[in-house]
Amino acid sequence: MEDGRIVELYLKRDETAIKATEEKYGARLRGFAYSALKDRQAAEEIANDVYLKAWNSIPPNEPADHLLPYLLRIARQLTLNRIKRLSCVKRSAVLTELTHEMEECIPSGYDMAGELEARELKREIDAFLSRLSEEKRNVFVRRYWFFDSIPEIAERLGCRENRVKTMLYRIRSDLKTSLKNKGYNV
Amino acid sequence: MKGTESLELLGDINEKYIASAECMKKRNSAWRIALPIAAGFCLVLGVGLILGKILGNKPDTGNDITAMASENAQNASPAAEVTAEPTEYVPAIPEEDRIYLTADLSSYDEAYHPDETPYIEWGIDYQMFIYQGREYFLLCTLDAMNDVIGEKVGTVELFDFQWSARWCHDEEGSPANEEHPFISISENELKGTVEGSVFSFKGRDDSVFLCMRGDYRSMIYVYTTDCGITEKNGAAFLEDKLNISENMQELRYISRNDFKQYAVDPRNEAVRLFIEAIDEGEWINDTRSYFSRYFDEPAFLALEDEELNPCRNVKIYTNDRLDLDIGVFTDGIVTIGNSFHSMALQVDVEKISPLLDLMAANYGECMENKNDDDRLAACRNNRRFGEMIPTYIPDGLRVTDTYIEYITDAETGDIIGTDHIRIDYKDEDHDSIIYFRVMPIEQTDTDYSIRWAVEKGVRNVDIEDFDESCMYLSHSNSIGCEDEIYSQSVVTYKDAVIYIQAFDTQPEVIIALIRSIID
Repeated sequence: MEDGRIVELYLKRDETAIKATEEKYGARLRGFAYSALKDRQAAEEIANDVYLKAWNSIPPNEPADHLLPYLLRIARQLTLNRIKRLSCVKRSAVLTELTHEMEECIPSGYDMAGELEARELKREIDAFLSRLSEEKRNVFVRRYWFFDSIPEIAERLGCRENRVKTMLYRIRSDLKTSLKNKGYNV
Repeated sequence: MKGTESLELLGDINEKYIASAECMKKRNSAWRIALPIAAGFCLVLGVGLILGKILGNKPDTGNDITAMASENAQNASPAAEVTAEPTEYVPAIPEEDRIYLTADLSSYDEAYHPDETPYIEWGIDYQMFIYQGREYFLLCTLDAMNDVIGEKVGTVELFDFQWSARWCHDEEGSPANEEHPFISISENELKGTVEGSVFSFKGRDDSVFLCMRGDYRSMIYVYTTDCGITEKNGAAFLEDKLNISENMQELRYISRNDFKQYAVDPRNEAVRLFIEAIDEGEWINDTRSYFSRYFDEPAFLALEDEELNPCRNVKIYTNDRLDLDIGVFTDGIVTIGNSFHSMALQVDVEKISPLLDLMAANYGECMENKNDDDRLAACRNNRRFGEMIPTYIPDGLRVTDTYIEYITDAETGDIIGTDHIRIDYKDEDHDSIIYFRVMPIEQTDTDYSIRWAVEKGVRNVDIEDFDESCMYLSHSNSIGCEDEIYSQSVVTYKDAVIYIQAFDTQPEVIIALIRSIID
């Protein structure tokens, strides 16, 4: 079923929307959560929570032309919440590694509570991504948005892992420089 | 910034970028398929190749690589990273009796990428070091209080294989990296991926087992030498090195029916047959890589269905507290430990079936509550913080994990103090969660979480004055969890600080937990 048709069902409050979403994107949502959590049951729960959240948020939202990113965004936030709640210290090694990498280039004094500052920083990161080549941006997003491992990205790109590592290192360095130039204390 | 905040920041990036990355196609890459992701063998190959290059003596086949790695590492004494007095390495097994099980170098090197030089893969979950010409790999981890640490034999220094040689980063125009300077081969000294003092394992042969205090000093890491897997059958490892038949305390497994841990007496006939099968089993270079057994698509899909997943995990405990992870595949492949990724035993399926049947029937003593009690008892017996451990366990919650991080003497390996204790309480569904942590009072200004709590307005009060007004209370701001109560509390008690984070837990439960410390 087309994304537009599925969103239409949500807008009409037709519960088959959830079934259609599950059929079309269930595996990808579960796979996304599983790759970060390594827990089959948790991945299943996340997928179910995504359907519920989508049901509650469409309308007012109408992601007819970007349904999958919309669902993945919910899945990502739910996955991060789950990680924070279930394993504050003994977190998934992958997430710990990703966090360390991101901390190299995100301002140290940044506080999520400062909403205005957070929004501004997010805007800067978005602008930085827009300046990257498509390949580099995809690599960065696969790593830090989809939580892919280096071997997984290398496989997608059809290159050696060291190339991916180098690419990510350079992107992080560039992001750090870019934010420094904007006056952030990195 | 700590936690996942830095990753959350990226949550709102432009949808176009998400869609574009989502569509990033997988490409075929023959060499990558051929290369066993298990870093172990790449590492072994890399070691052999580097040393081979240094000596200008490229090996002909993959089967010789392991031998070269050990022998050359031993000959090249400056490369031996252990600072203890060097001793002569005498292989325990005559050369003619050895077999070497490695990845097939020819298929990796020549068939798939003839123009490229093989390089050492970086394995983040892969721990090793070289001592006396032998490569030691992580076999298992033990609780920090186990009395297994013997004499110090040396100090190993960290060497990050990711950046181990210039040819790891051959991309044109790669910039100089101050953090990880590329090192030319001639300067390269192969060391390992762990650092710190290395000790003998009490009662066991140094040439086979060594141990270290792990990170955060909450565990003991036990290493074994991979060069020891040079024999033809499982008994050479299980019996000759581990004395498993005489030394086995129990066998444990996680049930697929209720996900609880069960223990089985080693005298059980099914266990006896299982050990016999391993002893008789032949070491083979399994055509499936370690990862393909689990993560290739069909196997990955099988994980979605417990019934189809061909691997059952078993743990064997010995009387001197070694524990051995064993993967049992229904087709008769048995893998041992974390180290031997591409090596496996081919065993008699008939002899492992009784154990698999027994596991399917939840046979044995359920260890779950016993383990919880043991863990909590260890916290309460802790000299430094034992009296700060709550006596009350909230209704519906159980202790799911405890962490005691010790301060240790690097020279002797002795535990000389406790850094902090953490206890996790969770309900069955992991909805209601309490993270309890007790630490020295001087840590209050350095621990991120407490500092954050204080900044949020939590009053750091004496335990006598603690009540709901001292807690930071809010509703969760997590999507989908808006109705849940979230709280943080910081309490001073004697010369320690207690810090509690609670999810979906009423304030009175936290108060009762804290009160039970002094009541």
